[in-house]
Amino acid sequence: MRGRLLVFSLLLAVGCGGQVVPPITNPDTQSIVGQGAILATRVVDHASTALDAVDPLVDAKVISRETARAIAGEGIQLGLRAKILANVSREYLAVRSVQNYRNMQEAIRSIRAIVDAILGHVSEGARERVRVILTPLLEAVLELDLLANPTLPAPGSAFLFLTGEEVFA
Amino acid sequence: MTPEVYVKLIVLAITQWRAHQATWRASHLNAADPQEWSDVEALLTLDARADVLIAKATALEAKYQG
Repeated sequence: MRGRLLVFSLLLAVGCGGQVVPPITNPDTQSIVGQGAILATRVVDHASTALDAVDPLVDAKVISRETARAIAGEGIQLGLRAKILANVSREYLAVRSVQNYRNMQEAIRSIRAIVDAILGHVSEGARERVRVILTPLLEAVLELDLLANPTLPAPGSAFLFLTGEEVFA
Repeated sequence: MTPEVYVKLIVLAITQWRAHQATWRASHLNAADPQEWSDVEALLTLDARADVLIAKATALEAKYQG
């Protein structure tokens, strides 16, 4: 029993302590915090606007009540992930470690995953009806993701709902 | 309250605790660097807007519950 407690305590200590990593000295990486925050705020604002459209869409029977509830749940998760991004970004500003930088990238990836999940709740037939609402959200999250991970969107992503030309039209 | 609500409350509590920690750490920022303070301002805005989104989404979820 005591042995298990010791192993648990050690794991907890290692988990809480984190890794010792060298600080980032490249000044170009500093401004990514501000840019990321601005783009993430844009994502949050567009998601907030999209939530405003949920009631009329339910009334018009474009989406079901269950879908509306699921989208609201994703909205909560998106808000929490945005707060986590703000927190890890502040930690990065204070500590400037590689691990903090990776935490920011991970938080941004999770924000994109939530937006993908929101889109996943919208059926094929309803997507065209809500395109005006979703396109700015897609555009903002794509910009945010490209800032943290400068590669093309992965195959199978929800971004394939719209082509690049459509997103930026 | 459902288990999901408990999970959300725990996640929120952890988030708030981490925010408190981050705020304390942010108080040690370099005050002479305007870029840094501009970044902090953008992060505070993000945090506040995220609160608005969470409140709106929570109300919406409650409306369509059951």
